[in-house]
Amino acid sequence: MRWLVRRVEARATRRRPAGERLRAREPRRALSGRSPARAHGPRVQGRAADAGALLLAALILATGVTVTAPSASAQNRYEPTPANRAARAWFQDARFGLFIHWGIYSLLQDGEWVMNNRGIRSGEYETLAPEFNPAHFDAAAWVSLAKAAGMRYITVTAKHHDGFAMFDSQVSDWDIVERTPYRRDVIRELAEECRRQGLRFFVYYSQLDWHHPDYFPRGQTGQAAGRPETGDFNRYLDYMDAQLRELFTNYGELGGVWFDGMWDRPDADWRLERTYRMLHELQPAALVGSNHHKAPFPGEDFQMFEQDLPGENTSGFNTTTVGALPLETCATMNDSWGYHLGDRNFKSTAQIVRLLVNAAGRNANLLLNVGPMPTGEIQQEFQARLREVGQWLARFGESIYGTRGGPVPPRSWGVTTQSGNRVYVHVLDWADDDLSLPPLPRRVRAASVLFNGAALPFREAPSGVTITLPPRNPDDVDLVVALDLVPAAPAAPAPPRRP
Amino acid sequence: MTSRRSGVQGAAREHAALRRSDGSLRSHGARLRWRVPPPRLATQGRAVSLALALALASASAASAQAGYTPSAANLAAREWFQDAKFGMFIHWGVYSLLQDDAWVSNNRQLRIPELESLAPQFNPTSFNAAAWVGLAKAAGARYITVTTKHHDGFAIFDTQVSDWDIVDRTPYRRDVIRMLADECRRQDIRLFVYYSQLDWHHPDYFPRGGTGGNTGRPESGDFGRYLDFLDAQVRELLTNYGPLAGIWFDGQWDKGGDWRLGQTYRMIHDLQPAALIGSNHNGWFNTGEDIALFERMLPGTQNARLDSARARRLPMEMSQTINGSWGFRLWDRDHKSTARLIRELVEAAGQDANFLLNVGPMPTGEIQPEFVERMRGIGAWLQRHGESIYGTRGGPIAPRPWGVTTQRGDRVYVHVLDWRDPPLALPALPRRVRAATLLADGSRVAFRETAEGVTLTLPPRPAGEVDQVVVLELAPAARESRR
Repeated sequence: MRWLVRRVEARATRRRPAGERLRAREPRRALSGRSPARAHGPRVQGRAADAGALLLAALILATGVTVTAPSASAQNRYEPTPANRAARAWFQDARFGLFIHWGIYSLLQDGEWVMNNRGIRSGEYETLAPEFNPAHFDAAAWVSLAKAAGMRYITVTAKHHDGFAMFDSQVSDWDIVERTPYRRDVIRELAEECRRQGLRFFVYYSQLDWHHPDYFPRGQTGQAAGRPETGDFNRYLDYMDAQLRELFTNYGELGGVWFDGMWDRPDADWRLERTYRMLHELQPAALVGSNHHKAPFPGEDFQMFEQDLPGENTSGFNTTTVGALPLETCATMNDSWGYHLGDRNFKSTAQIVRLLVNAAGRNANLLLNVGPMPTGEIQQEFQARLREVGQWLARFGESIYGTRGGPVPPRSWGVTTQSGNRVYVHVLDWADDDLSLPPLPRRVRAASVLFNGAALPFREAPSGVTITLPPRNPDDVDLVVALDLVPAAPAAPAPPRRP
Repeated sequence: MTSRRSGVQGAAREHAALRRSDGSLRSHGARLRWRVPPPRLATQGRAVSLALALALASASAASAQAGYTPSAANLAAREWFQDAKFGMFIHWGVYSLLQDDAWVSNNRQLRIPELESLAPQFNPTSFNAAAWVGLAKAAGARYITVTTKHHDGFAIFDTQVSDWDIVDRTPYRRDVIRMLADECRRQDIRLFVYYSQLDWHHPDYFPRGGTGGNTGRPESGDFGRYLDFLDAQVRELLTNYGPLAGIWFDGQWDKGGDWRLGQTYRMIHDLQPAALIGSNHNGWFNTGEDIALFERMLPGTQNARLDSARARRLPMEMSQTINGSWGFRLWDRDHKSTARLIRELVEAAGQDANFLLNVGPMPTGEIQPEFVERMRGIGAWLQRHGESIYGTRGGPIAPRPWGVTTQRGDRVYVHVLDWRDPPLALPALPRRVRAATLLADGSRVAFRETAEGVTLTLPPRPAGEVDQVVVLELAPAARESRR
């Protein structure tokens, strides 16, 4: 009897190594030596990608050719609509979004996995709902904070693994309106506030469910919830589809849906094709992405990477297969997704800016997380960092927004982004005066410091371009050099120039 | 209140215990001077241990309240305390919000601002003093002991010497200790205040002890100033909340050094002579203390080092948790059965000790149903068997494998807890047995008395009966009997 509780406590208080602590959303099994990725079609290896491959990828995107591959369960013959393609382009232009993890788990201030980590049973966990009364929740404050950070969209947990809906679901009473004294649909308030302030709104939805009895057979998590050892998984999927339909019907135009949790039962039939088709029919422009840590399945519109840049796998569970869809890296500001009192391992503002720049240089968005407090407030440490990133973007946003990964693939010194004829060289780690780049696709007309427009000397040779950089401080976050390329040769005879 | 905790804290506690046994803290115990009239003794064996204890103690000088002589009111309060036998312990504070027991801020190594961020979230709208006190009454408890300040230093009363309290820092803004004190008076139940001498929040709690080292406080501080603060809060408690049954100190085990116990204890006894002072040292105790406290162990059973025969000179109390946690812990479902808790109450009474059973209310102010059910279950048992518990002292037979005895006047209560066979042989009793009956229904129990002892023939035991209580009527003591 004693042993049981001690074991729980030992598990709860054990100090996790830093690498492990990052894997908040993923259980340990990811390290079990399983093949990290399955081929699901043509792919571009991020690290090996050269400029040509990136251009090819861009071309594929621009022409709307999607990666399709046979899959028993996904949306096999998915053809994105023009509206969807436009949304993808918008998504890539946006580059920076706010991730929000909030739910009744926030009450325990121990991350969003607390139900699973502490072995809390469903009945025990349900006692949290009547305690959830976030008197300080203010959708306008959250959305304004995202705006101040220079973010262009918000992705918020509509339902996390605990199955608790933060919206007014009609197919269950396990939701904020019916089970809490707060009784307000915070997803509606956030969706409306995003529209008001001009941000797009994504819903996070956990396919994994630790609460629903029909989530059976169980996967690798949520086994301590005390549910009966029976259940009809298809009935659970019907329930999931019904909730998704609600989200795609009752909350106006969505930016898209961010799925998570399929990794819990990697071999189950998730009926992806049916779900994805329903979503694309309900809102063709809404982007579908899933955090399954594999190459994208047909029917998905963007590919995501958890706590890693595309192509990297420091977290141990990400695929290194980088597909041709728009990319997004999500990351925490400390080591937790849900609010975790006592987690003070905050990334510095400089680290966050560099993460954003590194993502952009890999043609990916950054979705940066906050876990609001149970009161509805966002802790000061997060707010301060977000506002500082916003200040950086106010000056350097030109080199991030609307860009794509540049002609020079990521290097040890930094990355490049590109918008039209302008290549932005983000010098993150280079102490010397001269910096040499490999040959660029077109000749360089001018080089300047983005910050003040000061022209920089550069030398072009067949082997590449060498820029003489201005003096820097060791703690500079990012020296951005703008290279203006000569325009591409026109496909048709050029019209007569102005006299 | 200590608790099961992670390796680091466990080691810290272990270290503290070692230091104690090495002498730095034991010296307090060793310097006891006995001014308290010895409680009455039931057996010769106890008389021997008492003599030993007196021999040990007489060699030392007092370090705490030197020269303490309990007042008549205090001695009467001790009698009341021993008669009461059963109390309800309450652990409640801002830590309850995290639903991870009272040590959570230490176990998670929270810094001061992080700990402080909890206070504005504490709004226990379902708190109802009448319900808590009513539950204690329904359980048959005769007193309540409530944490007024736990190790996190947070006062759930309206202290004027700090703003780290429920009135100044929470949206609730109500002094729950006052509400409980008033309600206890109304429902005729007595109130002890738990007060943690250890403080993880106060900057002057320095040098730090074995715990609370990761709060980010400056590495300096004036412990004397902290003790002034402690005295001021204790003075508030003993001044503003009416007559208290006593004060339940905890946390001195955190470190050695001079705790100025004499000054504090003298102040308490001056303010309320009848208030009983106890400190959670598990058997070591200091002059000026009126009751001896044992945390989750029955005096005299688990650990010889803690089985201080000296403690037996004072009324004793064993504190216990229903599950494994003092503060509310959502996922702790290691609840002891009602039967087991009744058994522990009986065993404590048989050891001449009170039983203080804990509940950790939820952050909302509610008490979880598992606790309520068990408390009421104990109350239902006491309704029928209370005679063998309340007002008794440890009986003439020291605890045996089969159970324990209690006694009041000429009645000896034989609590048969673990015996399957009809005949049960008891050792010789101090006086002859006039009659034996079952407490449950008054039916006669056959017995045979010989020079070696008394053999009972127990009737069949109803299934599920926790404690078969046989009442032995002893022949009145010869000199005192009136014909």
